[in-house]
Amino acid sequence: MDIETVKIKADKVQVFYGENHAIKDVDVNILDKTVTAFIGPSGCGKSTFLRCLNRMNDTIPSCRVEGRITLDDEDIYDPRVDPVQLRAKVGMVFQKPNPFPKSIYDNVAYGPRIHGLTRSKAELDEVVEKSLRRAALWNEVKDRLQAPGTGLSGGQQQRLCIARAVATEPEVLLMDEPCSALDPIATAQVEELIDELRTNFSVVIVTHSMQQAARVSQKTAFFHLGNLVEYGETTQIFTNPRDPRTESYITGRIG
Amino acid sequence: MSGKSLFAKDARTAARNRAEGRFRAYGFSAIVLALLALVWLLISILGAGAPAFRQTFLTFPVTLDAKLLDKSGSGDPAALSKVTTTTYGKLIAKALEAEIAARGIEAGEVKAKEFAKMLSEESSATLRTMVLADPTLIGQTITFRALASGRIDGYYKGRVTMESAALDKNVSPAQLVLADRLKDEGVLTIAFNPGFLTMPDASDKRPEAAGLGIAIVGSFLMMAVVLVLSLPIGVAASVYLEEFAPKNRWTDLIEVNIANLAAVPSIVYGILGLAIFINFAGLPQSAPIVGGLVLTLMTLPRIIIPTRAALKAVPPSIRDAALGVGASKLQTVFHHVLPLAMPGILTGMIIGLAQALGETAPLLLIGMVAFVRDFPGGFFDPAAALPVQVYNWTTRGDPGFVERASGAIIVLLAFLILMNAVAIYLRRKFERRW
Amino acid sequence: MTPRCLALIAAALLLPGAASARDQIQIAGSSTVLPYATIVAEAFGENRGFPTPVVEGGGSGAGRKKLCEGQGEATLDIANSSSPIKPSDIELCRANGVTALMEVRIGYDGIVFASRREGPGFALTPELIWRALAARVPQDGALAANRASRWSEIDAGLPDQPITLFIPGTKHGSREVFDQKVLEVGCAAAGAEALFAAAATGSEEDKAKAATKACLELRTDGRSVDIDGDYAETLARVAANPDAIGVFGLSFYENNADKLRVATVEGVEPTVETIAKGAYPVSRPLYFYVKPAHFDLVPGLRDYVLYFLSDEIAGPGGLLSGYGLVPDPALAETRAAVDAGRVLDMGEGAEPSATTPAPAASAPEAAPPVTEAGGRPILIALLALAVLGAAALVAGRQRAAQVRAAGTAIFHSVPAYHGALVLLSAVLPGALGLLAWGGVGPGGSPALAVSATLLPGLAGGAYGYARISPDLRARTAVERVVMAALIGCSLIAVLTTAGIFASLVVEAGHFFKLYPAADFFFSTTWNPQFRGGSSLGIWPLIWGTFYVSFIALLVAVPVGLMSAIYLAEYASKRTRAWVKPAIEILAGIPTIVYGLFALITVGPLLRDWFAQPLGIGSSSSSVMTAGLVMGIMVIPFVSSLSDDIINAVPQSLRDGSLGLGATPSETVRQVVLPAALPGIVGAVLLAASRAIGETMIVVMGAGAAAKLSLNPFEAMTTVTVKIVSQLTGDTEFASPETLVAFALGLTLFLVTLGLNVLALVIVRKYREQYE
Repeated sequence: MDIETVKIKADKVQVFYGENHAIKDVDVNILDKTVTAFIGPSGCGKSTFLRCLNRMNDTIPSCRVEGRITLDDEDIYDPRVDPVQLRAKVGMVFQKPNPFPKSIYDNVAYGPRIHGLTRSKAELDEVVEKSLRRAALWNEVKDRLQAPGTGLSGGQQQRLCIARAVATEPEVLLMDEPCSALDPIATAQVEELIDELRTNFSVVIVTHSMQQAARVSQKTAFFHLGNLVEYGETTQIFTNPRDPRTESYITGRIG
Repeated sequence: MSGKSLFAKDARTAARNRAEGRFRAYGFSAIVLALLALVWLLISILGAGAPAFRQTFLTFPVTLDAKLLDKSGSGDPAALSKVTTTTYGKLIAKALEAEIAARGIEAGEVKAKEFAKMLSEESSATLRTMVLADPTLIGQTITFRALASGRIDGYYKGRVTMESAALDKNVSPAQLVLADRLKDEGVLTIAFNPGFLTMPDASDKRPEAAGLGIAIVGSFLMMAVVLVLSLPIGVAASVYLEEFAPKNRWTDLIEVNIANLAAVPSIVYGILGLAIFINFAGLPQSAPIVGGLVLTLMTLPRIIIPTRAALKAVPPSIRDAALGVGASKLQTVFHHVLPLAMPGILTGMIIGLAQALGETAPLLLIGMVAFVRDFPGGFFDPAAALPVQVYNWTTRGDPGFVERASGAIIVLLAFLILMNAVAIYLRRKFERRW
Repeated sequence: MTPRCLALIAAALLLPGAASARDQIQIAGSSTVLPYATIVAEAFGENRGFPTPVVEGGGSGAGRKKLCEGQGEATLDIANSSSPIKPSDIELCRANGVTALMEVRIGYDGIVFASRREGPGFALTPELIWRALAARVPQDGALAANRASRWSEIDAGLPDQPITLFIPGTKHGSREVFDQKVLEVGCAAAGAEALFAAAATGSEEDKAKAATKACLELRTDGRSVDIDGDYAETLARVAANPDAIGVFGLSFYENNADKLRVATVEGVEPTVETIAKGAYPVSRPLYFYVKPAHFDLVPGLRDYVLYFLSDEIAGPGGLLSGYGLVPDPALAETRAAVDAGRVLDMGEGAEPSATTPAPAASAPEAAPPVTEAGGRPILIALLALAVLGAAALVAGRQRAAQVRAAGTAIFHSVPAYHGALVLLSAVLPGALGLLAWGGVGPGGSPALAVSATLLPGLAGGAYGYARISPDLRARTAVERVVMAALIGCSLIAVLTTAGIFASLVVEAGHFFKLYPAADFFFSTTWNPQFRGGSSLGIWPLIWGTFYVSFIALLVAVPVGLMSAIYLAEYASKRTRAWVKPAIEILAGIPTIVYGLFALITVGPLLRDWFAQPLGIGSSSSSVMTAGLVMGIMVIPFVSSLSDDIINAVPQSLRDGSLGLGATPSETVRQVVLPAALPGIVGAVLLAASRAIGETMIVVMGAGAAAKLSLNPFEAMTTVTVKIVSQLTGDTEFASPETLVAFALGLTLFLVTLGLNVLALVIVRKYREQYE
């Protein structure tokens, strides 16, 4: 596994909601096959920045993005880029588990179907099984694939959403506080899963919990009031922060 | 690394984007279609109804001859009221004849006797009412503005032409020529007609005098009944069913019931109203209270359904939050859920009221189609209703009523637009997405 | 508090008028007599110092039935009628204690045939008309199906143009005259009656009956069109069809003489004079029936009757002859009879005429004193109750606040609840007291009503006041009462259904006593007749109803749903804020407007651009016309509710789908719509219910012909149309032809019930829980 390949590169990114300047001058390099954690107090802009990475902010009419974000050195805000194609490469998992009102199978098959990734039913079955296995859900649901996804427990739902996201074979997986609605056991399962996902994807996770960031990530970025204050190796950020604001946050003085 | 460049055009994505464009276009054209249908309807109604707001008048001096109107000279109101409209009619006819002579207008083939035929029969009644209200006018010469007859009025609205007048026994081409001369002299004028909104209905002989006054009052009274009864009852029933009712057979039954009642044809409510409110309870026919009650029963399920949907749309987290700080279930509902659901409830209420306002069929069966000339003094007096007045006018023989019917629709629409404006305001102010 | 305040205000406004005496004359009945009655009522109100009588239409049968429903203020004074009273009406009258009626003949109504002014004139005879309309006509001495398609084929002297006749539907009184004076006469003149009689079997009497029935049998190939609406509808149809001849009343024709060319019958042109002389053959007498017992009850009633019969009104050259009423030569005798108080012979059990009210000099000044209105005491009692309630609220609240301030104990409820509880414990017994007073009989002075209200109210209030203590669970108690009120409100729906069911079942039961249920439910012919022997099979009506509704939904569901999706998912907030209410305007436009729109605009458009060029129909009224217009009307029912429901789908689902790289339309189709499905099914259900129950549009747009056909460009009819037309027609009320309306209503009610239950099951199956 070769390391230190830059997957996503952000350069002087600014985000505005109408008049509100939400993200200021953010520069960051996100590495491939690495878990990168975004931490920071509520409203610091970490989720907003995450949503820039697969252009989910496009769905908010008042939102405006400036600067340059590249995926494999291609500008994702280039007019030639179709956000639909982009999002197939950069998948996303949300804070609240949001399974579709469909069966478990259809939830996972949704992405492959819309993107036309499979040619036959057998192939699709395979993708579904593989994704559910990757999401560590297969053993729990293999006997009830046609049951509604909404009938699962919270932790299972979130893993279903992860399975759904990985089924499209993305290159990057964005996770917006994926464990905030889960109990500790489910959280542990999801965290374990994230660590496994690292072997195949570049994972960016927004989290509120510094412990979680320390547990799952290799790189950590600390956001504060719309600024990227500090970015570096997770161990370094948590043991030896360079910026006093980072130190205040991780020692619990601000947040 | 893996995968293609983002810039690479992919046939499947292109096809999907085309599908997207098509879908969007379907949506857009659906809206355009719906709006075009609306515009088409409105244009045909406005075109037909706008003339109802303008009316042809003849203005000339009338001498109120005391010898005719107050033979005894006592000025006793009882004696004055014995003088009928026939006498007033003769007085007006003479005055118009004198005016035409005084102005030296060439009457052509029209005989002096036929001058008064150009006036509405309503005018003698108007003059009589005027004099009875103020007997001191007797003996004076006043300037009187009389309604022109329906045919003369129709001539200035394009309904009557020289050719049609030649075939019509109610008007002659010569009278039309005379009317044009009177117009040149300024005796005949065409002006805004406030009477259309304030006067009561008139008989088939006087389309020019027919107004919407009683229908507007009647509709207003009915809507007051509907609003006052159906809003609290509808909200209370919805709150119970949505928030408190245990899920059992009994509430299932009520639920099926309400869904069914919303689908019951309105004419069936007319049969119900006839049987219960008129035949059983003995409430008076043609009264706004009965119309209001029937429309309330009809509107209730149509309000309960959207109200329940609005309540259902309030996320449970709000309820949990309120319960969590120690509020009772009832307090939770009334302090938190209900206010949040209010925009949806009001939208449903306004649609329900709009339906009730335009409803015709059930009212036909409970006699709201009556010919009423006296303004109702309350909820129990006979009155008309706007949509039924439209129906009523379309069944009349004189073509002048068609224009009145379309005019009445314009008034009805004005009320609707007003109600919708309120809905827009509420929606804009409170709409949210969870 | 607000709902309660509103309710109090409403009650205060509503109740006072409840028992006030009636001072307006109430008239209802025939729509032919209606215009004359309104003209007289108007003149009467202007000149006689009485309020203007209230005049209703509704049909002769319904008018006579209402007249016979009983005696007294709550019943009708006068029934207008275009035909003489029937024995069944008299029986009903007697059963309800109406033992005396006066029959007043006011004049004659001419029935005329007229075509478009621009077309050629017609010289008709009953025989020619019958030959044009009859199902079977004699041909070379035998009976053959009528194949004549042009007038010139019937008689060389008639114009060479297609036969189309708009005749009054079987609910109209004028149809009876048309049957008797045109069809039967024409049938005999054509020599067909003898042939029909010869073809029949049985006794002479049976043969004659069969012949009459065969004479009245009309062709069903669209040459003869029944109009169930009024003359205005016939005029609109004639105006839209250059070949058509319509049947009108004389006065209607005279007011539209510039648009219509009248046909002569037997060489005589119909005018007031020729009909009065008896030269023009097709006319009928018009009547009204009045209860002499009401002369002393309703001020001005007798005066009105005599005024109506005066020469200046109903005489030759009078007010009404100017409007086309043919004066009765025997007017003076009728007037004298009324003056003498002569009443109708009502057979056994009727009071002898000697005891009917004497022609007393009941001058308006001597009108009986208006009875003391019972409204006043109720109003005062309600006001007292409101004051008591307000006082209880304030007192309870204050005391609770004082106790709370003074003591150290922990209060269960805040003072406001204690106030509300005291209010309830005062107002509820008070209201019960008022009800009891009303139940015993609302007699006596206001003081009695007030004391009946206030004594229990005060006692209850005092008890509630005394109970205030820190331990009192006032909130729980108040909530229990509120909950009871909520349950009560939701029960109103059940009561409504019970009421509908009861009122339909009772009358439908009467119908099924007169007409076999099996024929009603299984016959495929609908052909009501004036003189019995009707076929009243429901299937053609059901078919028409569903066909029209289906087309309406075919228009409304795609347009409405796509509009809703566009508004919810694509449109900007600004667009949405204007477009949504604009579309909703469509829902509020009265259906009568859509009816006119269908009749005048859409119908002719479809006929001229689709049906005729394609050779699949020649009628402007058709299933397609009604369906299209109804579809437009129903769009907002689908779009508005769907829009609300789509908006209620959580945003997180959209994000989830978009985040996977789905396009917005894929998100809508595969995620949002399935999630919103139950709600959308509900919206479509509402739309379907509107379409099935819609009346005015189908009356004017779909036509009145009951038939089973697949061609959407043919005129068909629906259940609702027939409910209105049979219930407001001129047929006797107690006949199966009228009562069938209730059986139709019941069927419709049960059909919608079945549909709704089905829809609810579907909704539940698909329902998704996001909680």
